[in-house]
Amino acid sequence: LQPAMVDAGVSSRLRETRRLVLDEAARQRRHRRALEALEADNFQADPHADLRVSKLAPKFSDEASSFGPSRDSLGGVAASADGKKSRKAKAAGGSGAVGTLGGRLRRNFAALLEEELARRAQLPGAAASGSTATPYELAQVGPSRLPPRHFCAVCGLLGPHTCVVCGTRFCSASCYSTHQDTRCLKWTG
Amino acid sequence: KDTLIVDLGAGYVKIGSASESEPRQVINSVTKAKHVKTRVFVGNELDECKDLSGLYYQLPFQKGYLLNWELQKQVLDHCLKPYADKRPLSEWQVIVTEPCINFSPVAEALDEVLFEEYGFKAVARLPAAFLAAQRDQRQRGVLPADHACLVLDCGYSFSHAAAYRRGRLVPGSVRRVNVGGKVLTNYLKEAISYRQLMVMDETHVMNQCKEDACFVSENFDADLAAMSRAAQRSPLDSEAQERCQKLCCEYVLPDYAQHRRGFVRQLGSQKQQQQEQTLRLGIERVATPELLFRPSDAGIPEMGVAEALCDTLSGLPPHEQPLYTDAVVLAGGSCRFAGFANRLETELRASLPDDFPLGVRCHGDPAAQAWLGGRDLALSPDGALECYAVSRKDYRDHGAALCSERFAQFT
Repeated sequence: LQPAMVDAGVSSRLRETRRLVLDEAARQRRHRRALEALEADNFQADPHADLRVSKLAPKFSDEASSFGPSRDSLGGVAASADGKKSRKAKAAGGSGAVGTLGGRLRRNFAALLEEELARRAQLPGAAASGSTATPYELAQVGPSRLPPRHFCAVCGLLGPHTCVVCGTRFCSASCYSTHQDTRCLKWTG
Repeated sequence: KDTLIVDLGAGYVKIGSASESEPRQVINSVTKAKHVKTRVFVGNELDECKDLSGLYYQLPFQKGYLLNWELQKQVLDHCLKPYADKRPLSEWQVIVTEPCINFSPVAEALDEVLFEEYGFKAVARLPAAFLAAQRDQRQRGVLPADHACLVLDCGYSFSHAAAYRRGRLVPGSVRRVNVGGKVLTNYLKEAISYRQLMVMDETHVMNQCKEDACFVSENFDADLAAMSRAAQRSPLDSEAQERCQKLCCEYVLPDYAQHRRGFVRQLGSQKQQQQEQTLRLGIERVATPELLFRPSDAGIPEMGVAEALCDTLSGLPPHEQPLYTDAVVLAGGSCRFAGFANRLETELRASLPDDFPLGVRCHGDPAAQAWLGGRDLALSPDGALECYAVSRKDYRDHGAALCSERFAQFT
Protein backbone atom coordinates (compact mmCIF):
# COMPACT_ATOMS: atom_id res chain seq x y z
CA LEU A 1 0.00 0.00 0.00
CA GLN A 2 1.24 3.46 -0.83
CA PRO A 3 1.36 5.78 2.14
CA ALA A 4 -1.37 8.04 0.76
CA MET A 5 -3.75 5.13 0.55
CA VAL A 6 -3.49 4.11 4.17
CA ASP A 7 -6.21 5.84 6.04
CA ALA A 8 -6.65 5.09 9.66
CA GLY A 9 -10.27 4.99 10.60
CA VAL A 10 -11.57 4.45 7.04
CA SER A 11 -13.11 1.08 6.29
CA SER A 12 -11.22 -1.14 3.86
CA ARG A 13 -14.28 -1.44 1.65
CA LEU A 14 -14.19 2.28 0.97
CA ARG A 15 -10.46 2.16 0.36
CA GLU A 16 -11.04 -0.51 -2.24
CA THR A 17 -13.64 1.58 -4.01
CA ARG A 18 -11.31 4.54 -4.15
CA ARG A 19 -8.65 2.41 -5.80
CA LEU A 20 -11.01 1.54 -8.61
CA VAL A 21 -11.78 5.06 -9.80
CA LEU A 22 -11.22 5.26 -13.53
CA ASP A 23 -9.00 8.05 -14.67
CA GLU A 24 -9.61 10.17 -17.75
CA ALA A 25 -7.51 7.95 -20.00
CA ALA A 26 -9.43 4.84 -19.03
CA ARG A 27 -12.72 6.63 -19.55
CA GLN A 28 -11.62 7.74 -23.01
CA ARG A 29 -10.67 4.16 -23.83
CA ARG A 30 -14.09 2.93 -22.75
CA HIS A 31 -15.75 5.67 -24.77
CA ARG A 32 -13.76 4.76 -27.88
CA ARG A 33 -14.67 1.11 -27.46
CA ALA A 34 -18.31 2.07 -27.10
CA LEU A 35 -18.13 4.05 -30.34
CA GLU A 36 -16.48 1.15 -32.14
CA ALA A 37 -19.23 -1.13 -30.87
CA LEU A 38 -21.79 1.18 -32.47
CA GLU A 39 -20.09 0.60 -35.82
CA ALA A 40 -20.04 -3.18 -35.59
CA ASP A 41 -21.96 -5.31 -38.07
CA ASN A 42 -22.17 -8.27 -35.72
CA PHE A 43 -21.93 -8.50 -31.98
CA GLN A 44 -21.44 -12.22 -31.68
CA ALA A 45 -18.83 -14.49 -33.22
CA ASP A 46 -19.37 -16.56 -36.33
CA PRO A 47 -21.79 -19.39 -35.38
CA HIS A 48 -20.35 -21.65 -38.07
CA ALA A 49 -16.74 -21.13 -37.09
CA ASP A 50 -16.42 -24.59 -35.66
CA LEU A 51 -17.55 -26.42 -38.81
CA ARG A 52 -15.03 -28.83 -40.21
CA VAL A 53 -14.59 -29.23 -43.95
CA SER A 54 -15.42 -32.82 -44.84
CA LYS A 55 -12.53 -34.61 -46.56
CA LEU A 56 -15.05 -36.32 -48.79
CA ALA A 57 -16.45 -33.08 -50.20
CA PRO A 58 -15.52 -32.54 -53.87
CA LYS A 59 -12.76 -29.99 -54.25
CA PHE A 60 -13.17 -27.06 -56.59
CA SER A 61 -10.18 -25.57 -58.26
CA ASP A 62 -9.16 -22.26 -56.77
CA GLU A 63 -8.21 -20.76 -60.13
CA ALA A 64 -11.44 -21.40 -61.98
CA SER A 65 -13.64 -18.39 -61.62
CA SER A 66 -17.07 -19.68 -60.76
CA PHE A 67 -18.82 -16.63 -62.13
CA GLY A 68 -17.60 -16.29 -65.70
CA PRO A 69 -20.18 -15.49 -68.36
CA SER A 70 -19.28 -18.72 -70.14
CA ARG A 71 -21.11 -20.83 -67.58
CA ASP A 72 -24.66 -21.82 -68.39
CA SER A 73 -26.15 -20.96 -65.07
CA LEU A 74 -25.11 -18.04 -63.00
CA GLY A 75 -22.73 -19.81 -60.67
CA GLY A 76 -22.06 -19.01 -57.11
CA VAL A 77 -25.55 -19.13 -55.67
CA ALA A 78 -25.06 -20.90 -52.39
CA ALA A 79 -27.43 -23.77 -53.00
CA SER A 80 -25.46 -27.00 -53.20
CA ALA A 81 -24.30 -28.34 -49.89
CA ASP A 82 -21.11 -29.80 -51.35
CA GLY A 83 -20.00 -26.60 -52.91
CA LYS A 84 -20.85 -24.87 -49.68
CA LYS A 85 -18.18 -26.45 -47.52
CA SER A 86 -15.28 -25.95 -49.83
CA ARG A 87 -16.38 -22.43 -50.59
CA LYS A 88 -16.50 -21.79 -46.86
CA ALA A 89 -13.02 -23.22 -46.60
CA LYS A 90 -11.94 -20.94 -49.40
CA ALA A 91 -13.56 -17.96 -47.80
CA ALA A 92 -12.10 -18.85 -44.45
CA GLY A 93 -8.70 -19.26 -46.05
CA GLY A 94 -8.82 -15.69 -47.31
CA SER A 95 -7.98 -14.44 -50.79
CA GLY A 96 -10.13 -15.83 -53.57
CA ALA A 97 -9.28 -14.54 -57.00
CA VAL A 98 -12.57 -12.69 -57.29
CA GLY A 99 -12.56 -11.48 -53.69
CA THR A 100 -9.70 -9.04 -54.01
CA LEU A 101 -9.69 -8.88 -57.80
CA GLY A 102 -6.07 -9.78 -58.18
CA GLY A 103 -5.04 -8.13 -54.94
CA ARG A 104 -6.05 -4.66 -56.08
CA LEU A 105 -8.79 -4.21 -53.53
CA ARG A 106 -7.74 -3.90 -49.93
CA ARG A 107 -9.46 -6.31 -47.55
CA ASN A 108 -10.31 -3.66 -45.02
CA PHE A 109 -11.30 -0.05 -45.03
CA ALA A 110 -8.38 1.28 -43.00
CA ALA A 111 -5.96 -0.09 -45.59
CA LEU A 112 -8.04 1.46 -48.39
CA LEU A 113 -7.84 4.87 -46.78
CA GLU A 114 -4.10 4.56 -46.11
CA GLU A 115 -3.49 3.63 -49.70
CA GLU A 116 -5.48 6.61 -50.92
CA LEU A 117 -3.46 8.95 -48.68
CA ALA A 118 -0.22 7.50 -49.99
CA ARG A 119 -1.41 7.87 -53.54
CA ARG A 120 -2.28 11.51 -53.01
CA ALA A 121 1.06 12.25 -51.41
CA GLN A 122 2.77 11.03 -54.53
CA LEU A 123 0.78 13.20 -56.91
CA PRO A 124 2.89 15.94 -58.55
CA GLY A 125 1.02 18.88 -57.02
CA ALA A 126 0.89 17.47 -53.50
CA ALA A 127 4.06 18.91 -52.01
CA ALA A 128 3.40 22.32 -53.54
CA SER A 129 -0.20 22.67 -52.35
CA GLY A 130 0.71 21.40 -48.92
CA SER A 131 -2.66 19.71 -48.49
CA THR A 132 -2.85 15.96 -48.97
CA ALA A 133 -6.31 15.55 -47.55
CA THR A 134 -8.49 13.17 -49.53
CA PRO A 135 -12.03 14.12 -50.53
CA TYR A 136 -13.16 11.45 -48.08
CA GLU A 137 -11.54 13.25 -45.16
CA LEU A 138 -12.63 16.67 -46.34
CA ALA A 139 -16.24 15.56 -46.44
CA GLN A 140 -16.17 14.55 -42.79
CA VAL A 141 -18.35 16.93 -40.82
CA GLY A 142 -16.99 18.67 -37.77
CA PRO A 143 -18.45 18.67 -34.29
CA SER A 144 -21.87 20.11 -33.64
CA ARG A 145 -22.25 23.70 -32.48
CA LEU A 146 -24.85 22.53 -30.00
CA PRO A 147 -23.79 21.32 -26.56
CA PRO A 148 -24.08 17.55 -26.10
CA ARG A 149 -26.92 16.07 -24.07
CA HIS A 150 -26.26 13.35 -21.55
CA PHE A 151 -28.66 10.54 -20.74
CA CYS A 152 -29.12 8.34 -17.72
CA ALA A 153 -27.66 4.94 -18.55
CA VAL A 154 -30.35 3.14 -16.58
CA CYS A 155 -33.57 4.77 -17.75
CA GLY A 156 -32.63 6.81 -20.83
CA LEU A 157 -33.95 10.12 -19.60
CA LEU A 158 -31.77 13.16 -18.97
CA GLY A 159 -28.75 12.32 -16.83
CA PRO A 160 -27.22 15.37 -15.22
CA HIS A 161 -25.21 13.46 -12.60
CA THR A 162 -22.05 11.43 -13.07
CA CYS A 163 -20.92 8.29 -11.28
CA VAL A 164 -17.67 9.06 -9.47
CA VAL A 165 -16.17 5.68 -10.19
CA CYS A 166 -16.80 5.12 -13.87
CA GLY A 167 -18.23 8.32 -15.29
CA THR A 168 -21.61 6.91 -16.36
CA ARG A 169 -24.53 9.30 -16.17
CA PHE A 170 -27.61 8.87 -14.03
CA CYS A 171 -30.70 10.91 -13.32
CA SER A 172 -31.74 10.13 -9.77
CA ALA A 173 -30.73 8.34 -6.61
CA SER A 174 -32.80 5.28 -7.53
CA CYS A 175 -31.14 4.93 -10.94
CA TYR A 176 -27.76 5.43 -9.27
CA SER A 177 -28.34 2.63 -6.82
CA THR A 178 -29.40 0.34 -9.72
CA HIS A 179 -26.19 1.35 -11.45
CA GLN A 180 -24.07 0.59 -8.41
CA ASP A 181 -25.77 -2.72 -7.70
CA THR A 182 -25.44 -4.25 -11.09
CA ARG A 183 -23.55 -2.33 -13.69
CA CYS A 184 -20.82 -0.10 -12.41
CA LEU A 185 -17.61 -1.15 -14.20
CA LYS A 186 -19.21 -4.42 -15.30
CA TRP A 187 -20.90 -3.25 -18.46
CA THR A 188 -18.36 -2.85 -21.20
CA GLY A 189 -20.77 -2.88 -24.12
CA LYS B 1 -35.62 -0.71 -72.68
CA ASP B 2 -33.21 -3.36 -71.52
CA THR B 3 -31.74 -1.43 -68.67
CA LEU B 4 -31.19 -2.74 -65.18
CA ILE B 5 -30.88 -0.34 -62.32
CA VAL B 6 -28.90 -1.67 -59.37
CA ASP B 7 -28.70 0.60 -56.34
CA LEU B 8 -25.87 -1.17 -54.51
CA GLY B 9 -26.19 -0.27 -50.88
CA ALA B 10 -24.36 -1.45 -47.79
CA GLY B 11 -27.65 -2.51 -46.21
CA TYR B 12 -29.82 -3.43 -49.16
CA VAL B 13 -29.52 -3.81 -52.92
CA LYS B 14 -32.41 -2.14 -54.69
CA ILE B 15 -32.72 -3.81 -58.07
CA GLY B 16 -35.14 -3.75 -60.94
CA SER B 17 -35.41 -3.32 -64.66
CA ALA B 18 -36.50 -0.05 -66.21
CA SER B 19 -39.80 -1.67 -67.14
CA GLU B 20 -40.70 -2.23 -63.48
CA SER B 21 -42.27 0.49 -61.39
CA GLU B 22 -40.42 -0.16 -58.17
CA PRO B 23 -37.29 -2.00 -57.10
CA ARG B 24 -36.93 -5.24 -55.21
CA GLN B 25 -35.13 -4.73 -51.92
CA VAL B 26 -32.61 -7.48 -51.31
CA ILE B 27 -30.62 -7.56 -48.11
CA ASN B 28 -26.97 -7.20 -49.10
CA SER B 29 -25.60 -9.94 -46.92
CA VAL B 30 -24.71 -13.61 -46.92
CA THR B 31 -26.27 -14.54 -43.64
CA LYS B 32 -25.60 -17.41 -41.29
CA ALA B 33 -28.27 -18.74 -38.97
CA LYS B 34 -27.45 -20.09 -35.56
CA HIS B 35 -29.33 -23.37 -35.94
CA VAL B 36 -28.87 -24.01 -39.63
CA LYS B 37 -25.34 -25.27 -40.17
CA THR B 38 -25.76 -26.79 -43.62
CA ARG B 39 -26.16 -23.61 -45.59
CA VAL B 40 -25.90 -19.88 -45.67
CA PHE B 41 -28.62 -17.55 -46.91
CA VAL B 42 -27.69 -15.31 -49.81
CA GLY B 43 -29.67 -12.09 -49.90
CA ASN B 44 -33.40 -12.66 -49.60
CA GLU B 45 -32.99 -16.42 -49.27
CA LEU B 46 -33.28 -15.37 -45.66
CA ASP B 47 -37.05 -15.55 -46.16
CA GLU B 48 -36.64 -19.32 -46.28
CA CYS B 49 -35.03 -19.39 -42.87
CA LYS B 50 -37.46 -20.49 -40.18
CA ASP B 51 -35.72 -19.08 -37.14
CA LEU B 52 -34.40 -15.55 -37.54
CA SER B 53 -32.85 -15.26 -34.09
CA GLY B 54 -29.11 -14.85 -33.59
CA LEU B 55 -28.38 -14.16 -37.26
CA TYR B 56 -24.77 -13.51 -38.26
CA TYR B 57 -24.29 -11.16 -41.17
CA GLN B 58 -21.46 -11.26 -43.66
CA LEU B 59 -21.58 -7.95 -45.47
CA PRO B 60 -19.63 -7.19 -48.66
CA PHE B 61 -19.52 -3.56 -47.58
CA GLN B 62 -17.29 -2.12 -44.90
CA LYS B 63 -17.84 1.40 -43.57
CA GLY B 64 -20.00 2.07 -46.61
CA TYR B 65 -17.53 0.85 -49.27
CA LEU B 66 -17.72 -2.32 -51.34
CA LEU B 67 -14.61 -4.27 -50.40
CA ASN B 68 -15.52 -7.95 -50.47
CA TRP B 69 -16.36 -9.16 -53.95
CA GLU B 70 -16.53 -12.81 -52.92
CA LEU B 71 -19.61 -11.99 -50.91
CA GLN B 72 -20.96 -9.37 -53.29
CA LYS B 73 -20.82 -11.76 -56.26
CA GLN B 74 -22.99 -14.20 -54.39
CA VAL B 75 -25.61 -11.58 -53.62
CA LEU B 76 -25.50 -10.04 -57.09
CA ASP B 77 -25.77 -13.43 -58.80
CA HIS B 78 -28.82 -14.11 -56.68
CA CYS B 79 -30.37 -10.72 -57.59
CA LEU B 80 -29.53 -10.89 -61.28
CA LYS B 81 -30.70 -14.43 -61.89
CA PRO B 82 -34.33 -13.57 -62.79
CA TYR B 83 -33.11 -11.01 -65.31
CA ALA B 84 -30.33 -13.16 -66.74
CA ASP B 85 -32.91 -15.89 -67.26
CA LYS B 86 -35.04 -13.60 -69.40
CA ARG B 87 -32.19 -12.37 -71.55
CA PRO B 88 -28.45 -12.94 -71.27
CA LEU B 89 -26.70 -10.21 -69.31
CA SER B 90 -24.68 -9.25 -72.37
CA GLU B 91 -27.88 -7.76 -73.77
CA TRP B 92 -28.59 -5.60 -70.74
CA GLN B 93 -27.14 -2.26 -69.90
CA VAL B 94 -26.85 -1.42 -66.23
CA ILE B 95 -26.93 1.65 -64.03
CA VAL B 96 -25.12 0.92 -60.80
CA THR B 97 -24.66 3.20 -57.80
CA GLU B 98 -21.66 4.17 -55.75
CA PRO B 99 -21.26 6.40 -52.69
CA CYS B 100 -20.98 10.19 -53.03
CA ILE B 101 -17.24 9.99 -52.58
CA ASN B 102 -15.60 6.88 -53.86
CA PHE B 103 -12.11 5.40 -53.92
CA SER B 104 -10.57 4.51 -57.27
CA PRO B 105 -9.74 0.88 -56.41
CA VAL B 106 -13.35 0.33 -55.37
CA ALA B 107 -14.72 2.04 -58.49
CA GLU B 108 -12.36 0.20 -60.82
CA ALA B 109 -13.17 -3.12 -59.24
CA LEU B 110 -16.89 -2.50 -59.76
CA ASP B 111 -16.36 -1.57 -63.42
CA GLU B 112 -14.18 -4.61 -63.97
CA VAL B 113 -16.66 -7.04 -62.48
CA LEU B 114 -19.58 -5.57 -64.39
CA PHE B 115 -17.82 -5.62 -67.75
CA GLU B 116 -15.61 -8.68 -67.48
CA GLU B 117 -17.39 -11.05 -65.11
CA TYR B 118 -20.97 -10.25 -65.99
CA GLY B 119 -20.38 -8.86 -69.46
CA PHE B 120 -22.98 -6.14 -69.49
CA LYS B 121 -23.51 -4.30 -72.77
CA ALA B 122 -22.99 -0.90 -71.16
CA VAL B 123 -22.39 0.41 -67.66
CA ALA B 124 -23.16 3.72 -65.98
CA ARG B 125 -21.66 4.02 -62.50
CA LEU B 126 -23.28 6.99 -60.78
CA PRO B 127 -23.60 8.19 -57.19
CA ALA B 128 -26.90 7.41 -55.53
CA ALA B 129 -27.29 11.05 -54.47
CA PHE B 130 -26.80 12.11 -58.08
CA LEU B 131 -29.65 9.83 -59.13
CA ALA B 132 -31.85 11.24 -56.38
CA ALA B 133 -31.13 14.72 -57.74
CA GLN B 134 -32.09 13.51 -61.22
CA ARG B 135 -35.31 12.13 -59.79
CA ASP B 136 -36.12 15.46 -58.18
CA GLN B 137 -35.44 17.38 -61.37
CA ARG B 138 -37.69 15.17 -63.48
CA GLN B 139 -40.46 14.81 -60.89
CA ARG B 140 -40.79 18.55 -60.50
CA GLY B 141 -40.41 19.14 -64.21
CA VAL B 142 -37.57 21.62 -63.74
CA LEU B 143 -35.35 22.23 -66.75
CA PRO B 144 -31.89 20.73 -66.27
CA ALA B 145 -30.25 24.11 -66.73
CA ASP B 146 -32.37 25.64 -63.95
CA HIS B 147 -32.14 22.80 -61.49
CA ALA B 148 -30.54 23.17 -58.09
CA CYS B 149 -31.06 21.00 -55.05
CA LEU B 150 -29.60 19.69 -51.83
CA VAL B 151 -29.69 15.94 -51.44
CA LEU B 152 -29.76 14.26 -48.05
CA ASP B 153 -28.99 10.56 -48.46
CA CYS B 154 -29.29 8.67 -45.16
CA GLY B 155 -28.18 5.10 -45.66
CA TYR B 156 -26.94 2.16 -43.66
CA SER B 157 -23.37 3.25 -43.03
CA PHE B 158 -23.53 7.02 -43.12
CA SER B 159 -25.51 10.03 -44.28
CA HIS B 160 -24.41 12.48 -46.93
CA ALA B 161 -25.48 16.03 -47.67
CA ALA B 162 -24.56 17.26 -51.14
CA ALA B 163 -25.48 20.08 -53.50
CA TYR B 164 -26.35 19.50 -57.16
CA ARG B 165 -26.54 22.22 -59.77
CA ARG B 166 -27.52 21.74 -63.40
CA GLY B 167 -27.20 17.98 -63.04
CA ARG B 168 -23.72 18.03 -61.56
CA LEU B 169 -22.32 17.80 -58.08
CA VAL B 170 -21.07 21.12 -56.75
CA PRO B 171 -17.42 20.34 -55.96
CA GLY B 172 -16.56 20.46 -52.28
CA SER B 173 -20.19 20.46 -51.20
CA VAL B 174 -20.34 16.91 -49.84
CA ARG B 175 -20.64 16.47 -46.06
CA ARG B 176 -20.64 13.07 -44.40
CA VAL B 177 -22.18 12.25 -41.02
CA ASN B 178 -21.15 8.82 -39.80
CA VAL B 179 -24.60 7.91 -38.54
CA GLY B 180 -26.79 5.54 -40.50
CA GLY B 181 -29.21 2.66 -40.03
CA LYS B 182 -26.47 0.47 -38.61
CA VAL B 183 -25.57 2.88 -35.80
CA LEU B 184 -29.26 3.43 -35.00
CA THR B 185 -29.95 -0.29 -34.71
CA ASN B 186 -26.85 -0.83 -32.56
CA TYR B 187 -27.84 2.06 -30.31
CA LEU B 188 -31.28 0.55 -29.82
CA LYS B 189 -29.79 -2.88 -29.16
CA GLU B 190 -27.52 -1.45 -26.48
CA ALA B 191 -30.27 0.54 -24.82
CA ILE B 192 -32.59 -2.46 -24.64
CA SER B 193 -29.79 -4.85 -23.59
CA TYR B 194 -28.73 -2.51 -20.84
CA ARG B 195 -32.21 -1.85 -19.54
CA GLN B 196 -34.38 -4.87 -20.23
CA LEU B 197 -33.33 -7.90 -22.21
CA MET B 198 -30.06 -9.01 -23.78
CA VAL B 199 -30.59 -8.53 -27.50
CA MET B 200 -27.07 -7.76 -28.69
CA ASP B 201 -27.09 -10.87 -30.90
CA GLU B 202 -30.50 -10.11 -32.36
CA THR B 203 -29.58 -7.52 -34.97
CA HIS B 204 -32.27 -8.65 -37.38
CA VAL B 205 -35.07 -8.54 -34.84
CA MET B 206 -34.00 -5.21 -33.37
CA ASN B 207 -33.63 -3.74 -36.82
CA GLN B 208 -37.25 -4.63 -37.45
CA CYS B 209 -38.16 -3.21 -34.05
CA LYS B 210 -36.47 0.03 -35.03
CA GLU B 211 -38.42 0.13 -38.29
CA ASP B 212 -41.71 -0.72 -36.60
CA ALA B 213 -41.58 1.29 -33.41
CA CYS B 214 -39.25 4.25 -33.84
CA PHE B 215 -40.16 7.64 -35.17
CA VAL B 216 -38.69 11.13 -35.18
CA SER B 217 -39.99 13.45 -32.52
CA GLU B 218 -40.93 16.95 -33.56
CA ASN B 219 -39.70 18.15 -30.16
CA PHE B 220 -37.39 15.71 -28.42
CA ASP B 221 -36.70 17.93 -25.42
CA ALA B 222 -40.42 18.18 -24.69
CA ASP B 223 -40.74 14.40 -24.92
CA LEU B 224 -37.83 14.01 -22.49
CA ALA B 225 -39.35 16.50 -20.07
CA ALA B 226 -42.76 14.81 -20.19
CA MET B 227 -41.30 11.34 -19.62
CA SER B 228 -39.11 12.64 -16.78
CA ARG B 229 -42.08 14.16 -15.02
CA ALA B 230 -44.04 10.95 -15.45
CA ALA B 231 -41.13 8.96 -14.01
CA GLN B 232 -41.07 11.22 -10.96
CA ARG B 233 -44.83 10.77 -10.64
CA SER B 234 -45.34 14.53 -10.90
CA PRO B 235 -48.68 15.78 -12.23
CA LEU B 236 -48.74 16.06 -16.02
CA ASP B 237 -50.57 18.61 -18.09
CA SER B 238 -52.59 17.34 -21.04
CA GLU B 239 -49.82 17.94 -23.57
CA ALA B 240 -47.27 16.02 -21.51
CA GLN B 241 -49.76 13.21 -21.00
CA GLU B 242 -50.33 12.97 -24.75
CA ARG B 243 -46.60 12.76 -25.34
CA CYS B 244 -46.16 9.98 -22.81
CA GLN B 245 -49.09 8.04 -24.20
CA LYS B 246 -47.71 8.35 -27.70
CA LEU B 247 -44.32 7.08 -26.61
CA CYS B 248 -45.04 4.26 -24.19
CA CYS B 249 -45.90 1.00 -25.83
CA GLU B 250 -45.10 -2.69 -25.90
CA TYR B 251 -43.18 -4.41 -28.65
CA VAL B 252 -44.08 -8.08 -28.97
CA LEU B 253 -41.04 -10.03 -30.13
CA PRO B 254 -41.41 -12.67 -32.84
CA ASP B 255 -41.54 -16.29 -31.75
CA TYR B 256 -41.17 -17.76 -35.27
CA ALA B 257 -44.05 -20.11 -34.56
CA GLN B 258 -46.97 -17.73 -34.92
CA HIS B 259 -45.21 -14.46 -35.74
CA ARG B 260 -42.19 -13.98 -37.96
CA ARG B 261 -42.00 -10.31 -37.20
CA GLY B 262 -42.55 -8.36 -34.03
CA PHE B 263 -45.21 -5.72 -33.69
CA VAL B 264 -46.10 -2.69 -31.63
CA ARG B 265 -48.95 -3.02 -29.16
CA GLN B 266 -50.57 -0.32 -27.07
CA LEU B 267 -50.15 -0.75 -23.34
CA GLY B 268 -52.90 -2.62 -21.60
CA SER B 269 -54.71 -3.51 -24.80
CA GLN B 270 -54.07 -7.20 -24.40
CA LYS B 271 -52.90 -9.33 -21.55
CA GLN B 272 -49.52 -10.86 -22.15
CA GLN B 273 -49.81 -14.33 -23.62
CA GLN B 274 -47.84 -17.12 -22.00
CA GLN B 275 -45.13 -17.68 -24.56
CA GLU B 276 -44.74 -14.03 -25.44
CA GLN B 277 -41.65 -11.96 -24.95
CA THR B 278 -42.27 -8.25 -24.93
CA LEU B 279 -40.22 -5.12 -24.64
CA ARG B 280 -41.39 -1.96 -22.92
CA LEU B 281 -40.51 0.94 -25.15
CA GLY B 282 -40.63 4.57 -24.20
CA ILE B 283 -38.11 7.29 -24.84
CA GLU B 284 -36.07 4.84 -26.97
CA ARG B 285 -38.62 5.15 -29.74
CA VAL B 286 -37.59 8.74 -30.39
CA ALA B 287 -34.09 8.74 -28.90
CA THR B 288 -32.86 6.29 -31.53
CA PRO B 289 -33.66 8.28 -34.69
CA GLU B 290 -32.69 11.42 -32.77
CA LEU B 291 -29.09 10.34 -33.38
CA LEU B 292 -29.45 11.42 -36.97
CA PHE B 293 -30.02 14.95 -35.78
CA ARG B 294 -27.76 14.83 -32.71
CA PRO B 295 -24.97 12.23 -33.00
CA SER B 296 -23.51 13.73 -29.82
CA ASP B 297 -26.34 12.00 -27.91
CA ALA B 298 -24.34 8.79 -28.39
CA GLY B 299 -21.02 10.48 -27.85
CA ILE B 300 -20.26 10.77 -31.58
CA PRO B 301 -18.49 14.11 -31.97
CA GLU B 302 -20.24 15.17 -35.16
CA MET B 303 -22.98 17.49 -36.24
CA GLY B 304 -26.34 16.08 -37.27
CA VAL B 305 -27.89 15.91 -40.73
CA ALA B 306 -29.66 19.25 -40.47
CA GLU B 307 -26.47 21.03 -39.45
CA ALA B 308 -24.60 19.19 -42.20
CA LEU B 309 -27.06 20.47 -44.79
CA CYS B 310 -26.51 24.00 -43.48
CA ASP B 311 -22.77 23.43 -43.65
CA THR B 312 -23.06 22.40 -47.29
CA LEU B 313 -25.21 25.42 -47.96
CA SER B 314 -22.76 27.82 -46.37
CA GLY B 315 -20.16 26.79 -48.93
CA LEU B 316 -22.40 27.81 -51.83
CA PRO B 317 -22.54 31.29 -53.40
CA PRO B 318 -24.80 33.41 -51.15
CA HIS B 319 -27.01 34.71 -53.94
CA GLU B 320 -27.73 31.14 -55.08
CA GLN B 321 -28.43 29.63 -51.69
CA PRO B 322 -32.22 30.20 -51.80
CA LEU B 323 -32.36 28.10 -54.98
CA TYR B 324 -30.96 25.14 -53.10
CA THR B 325 -33.05 25.43 -49.97
CA ASP B 326 -36.19 25.30 -52.07
CA ALA B 327 -35.38 21.68 -52.86
CA VAL B 328 -34.00 19.53 -50.06
CA VAL B 329 -34.37 16.04 -51.45
CA LEU B 330 -34.70 13.07 -49.11
CA ALA B 331 -33.18 9.76 -50.11
CA GLY B 332 -32.08 6.61 -48.35
CA GLY B 333 -33.74 4.11 -46.04
CA SER B 334 -32.96 5.98 -42.84
CA CYS B 335 -35.14 8.87 -43.98
CA ARG B 336 -38.16 6.58 -43.79
CA PHE B 337 -38.91 7.30 -40.13
CA ALA B 338 -42.30 8.87 -39.54
CA GLY B 339 -41.86 12.54 -38.76
CA PHE B 340 -38.46 12.81 -40.42
CA ALA B 341 -39.40 15.34 -43.08
CA ASN B 342 -41.31 17.44 -40.57
CA ARG B 343 -38.44 17.56 -38.11
CA LEU B 344 -35.90 18.34 -40.81
CA GLU B 345 -38.05 21.20 -41.98
CA THR B 346 -38.35 22.59 -38.45
CA GLU B 347 -34.61 22.39 -37.86
CA LEU B 348 -33.72 23.93 -41.21
CA ARG B 349 -36.33 26.65 -40.94
CA ALA B 350 -34.82 27.68 -37.62
CA SER B 351 -31.33 27.90 -39.11
CA LEU B 352 -32.10 29.66 -42.37
CA PRO B 353 -32.84 33.33 -43.02
CA ASP B 354 -36.59 33.72 -43.12
CA ASP B 355 -36.63 35.08 -46.65
CA PHE B 356 -35.19 31.80 -47.97
CA PRO B 357 -37.81 29.45 -49.39
CA LEU B 358 -37.66 26.01 -47.81
CA GLY B 359 -38.98 22.90 -49.47
CA VAL B 360 -38.24 19.40 -48.14
CA ARG B 361 -39.04 17.11 -51.07
CA CYS B 362 -39.90 13.49 -50.76
CA HIS B 363 -40.96 11.91 -54.03
CA GLY B 364 -42.15 8.61 -52.58
CA ASP B 365 -40.25 6.00 -50.57
CA PRO B 366 -36.86 7.54 -49.69
CA ALA B 367 -35.13 4.18 -49.97
CA ALA B 368 -36.20 3.92 -53.60
CA GLN B 369 -35.34 7.46 -54.71
CA ALA B 370 -31.92 6.66 -56.14
CA TRP B 371 -33.35 3.64 -57.97
CA LEU B 372 -36.27 5.67 -59.29
CA GLY B 373 -33.83 8.37 -60.42
CA GLY B 374 -31.92 5.72 -62.32
CA ARG B 375 -35.12 4.49 -63.87
CA ASP B 376 -36.16 8.04 -64.86
CA LEU B 377 -32.76 8.44 -66.45
CA ALA B 378 -33.07 5.17 -68.34
CA LEU B 379 -36.55 5.97 -69.62
CA SER B 380 -35.92 9.62 -70.35
CA PRO B 381 -36.96 10.38 -73.91
CA ASP B 382 -33.96 12.61 -74.57
CA GLY B 383 -31.63 9.62 -74.28
CA ALA B 384 -29.79 11.22 -71.37
CA LEU B 385 -28.36 7.88 -70.29
CA GLU B 386 -26.17 7.77 -73.39
CA CYS B 387 -23.83 10.47 -72.19
CA TYR B 388 -23.29 8.71 -68.84
CA ALA B 389 -22.85 5.16 -70.02
CA VAL B 390 -19.71 3.40 -71.19
CA SER B 391 -20.18 0.54 -73.64
CA ARG B 392 -18.38 -2.77 -73.35
CA LYS B 393 -16.61 -2.10 -76.61
CA ASP B 394 -15.28 1.24 -75.35
CA TYR B 395 -14.20 -0.40 -72.12
CA ARG B 396 -12.24 -3.03 -74.05
CA ASP B 397 -10.65 -0.45 -76.30
CA HIS B 398 -9.87 2.28 -73.80
CA GLY B 399 -9.82 0.46 -70.49
CA ALA B 400 -10.57 1.60 -67.00
CA ALA B 401 -9.24 5.12 -67.57
CA LEU B 402 -12.21 5.93 -69.77
CA CYS B 403 -14.61 4.92 -67.05
CA SER B 404 -13.04 7.10 -64.41
CA GLU B 405 -13.08 10.02 -66.82
CA ARG B 406 -16.62 9.53 -68.06
CA PHE B 407 -18.20 8.91 -64.68
CA ALA B 408 -16.13 11.41 -62.73
CA GLN B 409 -17.39 14.41 -64.61
CA PHE B 410 -20.79 14.07 -62.98
CA THR B 411 -19.71 13.16 -59.48
